[in-house]
Amino acid sequence: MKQILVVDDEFDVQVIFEQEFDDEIARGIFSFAFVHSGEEALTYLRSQAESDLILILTDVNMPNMTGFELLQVIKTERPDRKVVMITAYDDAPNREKAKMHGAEGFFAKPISFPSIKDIVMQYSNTIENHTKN
Amino acid sequence: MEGIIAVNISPLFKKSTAPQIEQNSRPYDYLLSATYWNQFFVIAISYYLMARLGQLMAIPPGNVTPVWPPSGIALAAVLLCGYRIWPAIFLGALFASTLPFYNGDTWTSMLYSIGTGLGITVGVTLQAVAGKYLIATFGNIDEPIEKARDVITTLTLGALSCLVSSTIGSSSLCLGGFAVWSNYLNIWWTWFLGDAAGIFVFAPLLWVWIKYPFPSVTRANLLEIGLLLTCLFVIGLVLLTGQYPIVFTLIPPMVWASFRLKHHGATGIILLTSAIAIWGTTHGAAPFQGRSLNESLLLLQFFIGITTMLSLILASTVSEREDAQQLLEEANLTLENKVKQRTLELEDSLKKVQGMQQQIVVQQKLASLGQLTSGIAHEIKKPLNFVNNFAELCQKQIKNLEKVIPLIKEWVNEQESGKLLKSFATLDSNIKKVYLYGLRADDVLKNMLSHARGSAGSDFQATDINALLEENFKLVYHSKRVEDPTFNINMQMKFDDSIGEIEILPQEIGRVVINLLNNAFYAVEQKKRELGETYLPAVTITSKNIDEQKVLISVHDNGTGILKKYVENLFTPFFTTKPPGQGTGLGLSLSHEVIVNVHHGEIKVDTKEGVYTVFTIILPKKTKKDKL
Amino acid sequence: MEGIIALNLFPVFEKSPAPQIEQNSRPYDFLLSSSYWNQFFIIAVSYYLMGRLGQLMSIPPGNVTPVWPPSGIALAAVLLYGYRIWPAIFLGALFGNTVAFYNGETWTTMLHSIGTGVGISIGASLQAVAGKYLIATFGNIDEPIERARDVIITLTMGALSCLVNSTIGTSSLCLGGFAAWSNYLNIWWTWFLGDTAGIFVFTPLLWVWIKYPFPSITSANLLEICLLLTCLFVIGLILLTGHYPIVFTLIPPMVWASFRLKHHGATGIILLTSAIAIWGTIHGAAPFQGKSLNESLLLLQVFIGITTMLSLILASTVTERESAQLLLVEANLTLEDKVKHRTLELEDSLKKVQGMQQQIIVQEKLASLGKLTAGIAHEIKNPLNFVNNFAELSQKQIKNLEQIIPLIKERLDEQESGKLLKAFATLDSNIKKVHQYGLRADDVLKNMLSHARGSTGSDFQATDINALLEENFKLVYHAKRVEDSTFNINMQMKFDDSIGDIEILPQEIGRVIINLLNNAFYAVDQKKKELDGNYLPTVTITSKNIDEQKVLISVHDNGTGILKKHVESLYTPFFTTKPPGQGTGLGLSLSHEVIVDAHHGEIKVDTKEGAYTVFTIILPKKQNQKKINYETDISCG
Repeated sequence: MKQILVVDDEFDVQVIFEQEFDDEIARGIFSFAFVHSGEEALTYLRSQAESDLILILTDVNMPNMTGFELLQVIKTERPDRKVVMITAYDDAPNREKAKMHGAEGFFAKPISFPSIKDIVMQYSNTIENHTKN
Repeated sequence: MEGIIAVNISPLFKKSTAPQIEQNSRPYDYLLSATYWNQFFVIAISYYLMARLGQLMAIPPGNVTPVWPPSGIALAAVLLCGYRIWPAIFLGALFASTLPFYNGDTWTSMLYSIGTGLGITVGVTLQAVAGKYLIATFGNIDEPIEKARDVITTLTLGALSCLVSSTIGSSSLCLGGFAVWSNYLNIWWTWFLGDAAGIFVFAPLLWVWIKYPFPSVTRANLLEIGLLLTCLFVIGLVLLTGQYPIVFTLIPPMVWASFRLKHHGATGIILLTSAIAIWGTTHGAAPFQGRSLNESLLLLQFFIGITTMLSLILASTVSEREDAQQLLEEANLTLENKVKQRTLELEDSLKKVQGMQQQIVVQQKLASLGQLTSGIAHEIKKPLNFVNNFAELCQKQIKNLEKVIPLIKEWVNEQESGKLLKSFATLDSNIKKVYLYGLRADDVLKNMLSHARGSAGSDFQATDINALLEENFKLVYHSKRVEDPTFNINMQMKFDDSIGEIEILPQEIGRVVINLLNNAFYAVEQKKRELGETYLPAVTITSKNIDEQKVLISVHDNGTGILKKYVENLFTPFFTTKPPGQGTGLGLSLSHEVIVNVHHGEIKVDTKEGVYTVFTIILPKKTKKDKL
Repeated sequence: MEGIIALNLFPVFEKSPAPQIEQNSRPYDFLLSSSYWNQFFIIAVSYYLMGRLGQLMSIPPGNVTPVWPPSGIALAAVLLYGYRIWPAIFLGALFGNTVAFYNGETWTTMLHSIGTGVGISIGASLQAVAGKYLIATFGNIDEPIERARDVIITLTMGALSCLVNSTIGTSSLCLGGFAAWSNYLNIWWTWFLGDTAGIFVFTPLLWVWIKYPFPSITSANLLEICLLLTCLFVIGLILLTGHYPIVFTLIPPMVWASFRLKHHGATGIILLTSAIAIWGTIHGAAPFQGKSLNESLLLLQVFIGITTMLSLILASTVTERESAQLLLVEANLTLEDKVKHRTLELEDSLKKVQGMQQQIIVQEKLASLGKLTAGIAHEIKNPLNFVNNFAELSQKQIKNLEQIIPLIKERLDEQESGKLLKAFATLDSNIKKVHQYGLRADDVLKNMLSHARGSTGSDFQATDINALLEENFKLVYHAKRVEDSTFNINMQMKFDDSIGDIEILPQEIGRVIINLLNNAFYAVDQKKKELDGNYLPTVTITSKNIDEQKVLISVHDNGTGILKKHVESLYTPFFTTKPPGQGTGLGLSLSHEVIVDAHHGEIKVDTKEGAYTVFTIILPKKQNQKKINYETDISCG
């Protein structure tokens, strides 16, 4: 099952995601893992030996490790991992920064779930193609 | 030290009103001026008269007097009136010198006498000219006796000039046969001394009293003058008894006069003292008893010379002191004024600083709020995001629950079913409203954030200008209504829909529009206060598509208008007509900067006092690609 | 005018290093000082010697000389060293006079001679004392001959004092039988004149040369001195031939000496001229030929008197002129300085104005933003209110719909039922969340609005301080992050949960916290710019329950710290270490006002340069119920 990791310090993000994707979750298309800090995310990622992880969605603004810092670490360790930033700070410098550090996407809050669904589908297909190949 | 007291005119001297002969225009113009001929006449006559007087007091065999006034007069004349006055001297001298010698007996004697007279005259004239020349070259021609140093120089040079007349005069006499060559030296010598004494006594006297005719005399001075004259009189009498050789007692009065009455006193007393001394000497009641009369005269002249120099030096010294003191006062006054002025400027500046500090304090709260704006916006946005997310999800859940509706109809009776269905519908509607309003709030927040962010790092953006105008119009209007709930105006928006998007910095233009609107609102408010209920305040914002390149935006109000005298200062930083605390005066200047400097547009104002004001902005649709 | 030249010390005189006798401590202490006895000795001896000299030059029958030096010495002595030097004069006079008259033949003669000597000595001493007294009373005792006016007064007083010894002395002579009473007036007169002349010549001389012993002489002056001396010499010779009555020719040299060499020159030349004149008179080569010798002497003395006064007056005048000029320069310099100083102050102030104008411009932008924000706030509040209202209403509706739940459970199969019930529960939960967040947003808005409004009224409110701290911490943090998206710090909140509510003005305290946090963020930001790398910026906000009455709040940062010299000015209005445009310098002063004046609390700072700063606030939990009319509404900028 394709898994998506969501990193956000706000707990209600999980509630929302689970509701938004309740259908997909119910049908077993995706599963979501929720962590609440960058450190937790890294721990999780490093523990997943061979993962079905297709995408990492991360908030930018978190205490201690920020989304960007997390992005950099992930890209250093596993450049193949896809990371999409979700943030309340929607401005040009942040977009630039995301791009520069290799993020695959940048969304502003409030999260527009159609767009999220789009990009999730995009990456799941990619994986499929990959695995197929 | 001298440099410090370099004054052109001793302030204690009041310059004579008699004008100097101008030395410009055509060289002989002076021959036409009345002044010249006045002087000429006066000098010629004085010379002649004083010469005759002197001759009467003459002592043979040289026919000279101990003090020969005319030489002093002559030198004073050229010093005062210039070289060109020489004909006057010549004339006076001619008559004075020829008449005594005139012998019309024979042609020869006549010739000789005229010749002698002429010779003497030439000598006299030359002497005066030479005197001035020497003083002009080696001394101070403008103020020959006003300073101590110059006194010595001038008198010495004056004495030197006497060599001329003594030589020429004595030679003329001998040549003319009126004196013997064997006596030449004697004659020459007495002539020289007499002329020198004459210059010493009369030249300074005339110079001082003609050039500065009105000494400042106080009542105390009058008393002193009285005392001095009395002293002189007494001393004179005593001296003339011949009993007591106390001639030196003349000196204290001279010192006193020079000290207290300066040049006027000095020259005056020199004249008097010399007169006393001479009169005494000629009448045998001699203060100076030499072995011969000549010796007495020599002593006399010597005395005169020394006392003259002494008195004048003292007078100059005292003058210089008083000048220095005056300068001191003046300089001090100037500097004191400067200090005062600077202090005033400083106080002004400090007041300004104070005022500004007050302004800053007043603005502080709002400014710190401004600083926090973005933070606040963010803090609001976060929960709002959740509101929206959850509202959306609610809708989803409601959709899920719709299945129940038909079931309800089945399971429950009509009445109950009706209620429940109603609740459902209401719930649905409520949730939708929550969502809608949530989005609305979000929109406003975005606006707030963009204002907070300002133009930092922003590029020109294609912007729907009409939307921007409308948005800001509403914003300002609501702001105003919050401040003053009674605020109500007729808001007109006349937008030209053919304008699409234009390349601007939306936040900056937004600020400009806000500024203009604030001013418009203020103006109509003021007018309302004056006119009251009958007045219908109206503010109109217009956009127009001028052409391919430009758009026009205008903000019109029917408020108080702007006074003509203020119009030119309108865009000056810190200029404001609002009472203190109600505006920094920066709005329009910043707006101007944004429109003209940043957007390369124009901003104009048209106004009529008491009637209306309209600000017109012209913006290019596209900007050059200058990144800020 | 005189006021301008009121100097205590003539700058052209350099004061003698010889110390004056102090006139303090115990009255007779001076008797112990060596300087006194030095002076005593010198004066006594000088008096005696000059007296003897004078006597040798005396002219009978009065036994007086035209110029009697001792009287000048005596007066000079008391002027220079004070009344207390009179015994020296007495002694010198005693010896001088007694020796002259001493007749030891019989007791009577001895007595008489000693008596006469004593009498004269008393007269001399009294005269000196009287002279000083007169000058002290009517003249200028500190500078008796430095100014023209004082010259006249001093010399006149000096002359007046000579009445004393002429009277006493002559009387002593007659009483002692050394002179006939019939000759009294004659003797008296010559005595008087001699003493006066002595004072005229010698007192100014001694005063000047002892009080100001080192005149400033240039090489030009040396030349002039030589010329003068030569002149005098020549004139002297001529005069002494007796052929040419050119005594007045002495006057120009005197004038020149006084003019150029001032008091030193004047007194010197007076001495020389008088000497020439006297010598001549004594030896018959008299410049002054009167009908008798006495008359000659009188003339001589008149001459000396007049020329002395003249010379000294001239010297004084010249000196005063030079002093005036010096004053001129000094005063000008002072004033120039003042102008310079004022100009600098002005420039400073103008720079300040400029800086403030910059400040105001920056602030203006922020203030207009703030104003706008206040306006916007209402724009947000509106829809937000609807959100909350409708959320609440939705909850109500859900409650109504709860009726269906049992029916669902009954009528539908487990799967379907499960789904529907789940949807219901989720809906319920969502609505609650909507409401919850809606209220939260509303709270923040309220907070923001209160910032805009200032504190209307001044009611203290029971406030959850920890919540306030947390809220404002987040607020400032986010504001900073929007400004600078790279901004990231370690935010630490250490709250003491045992603190409940405390009575404060929440908006004001909120502002204080914001101010302290802004400063803390600035400090760590600055440090980061310097260190970058391994530096972990940390800001910690702490609350602690001190006791029943007080709580402690602290804001700690590990930033740049505050320089020691700045610490004392920290709470001064407009004091700031930030570059212009980055801070008005009002934050801490306003915070201080809020904490101390409004809340009766304390605020302290502890800092280490380059290491950390921590601001500590202590607040009372409860306030006295005094209403403070603290501030007015701020509704417009």
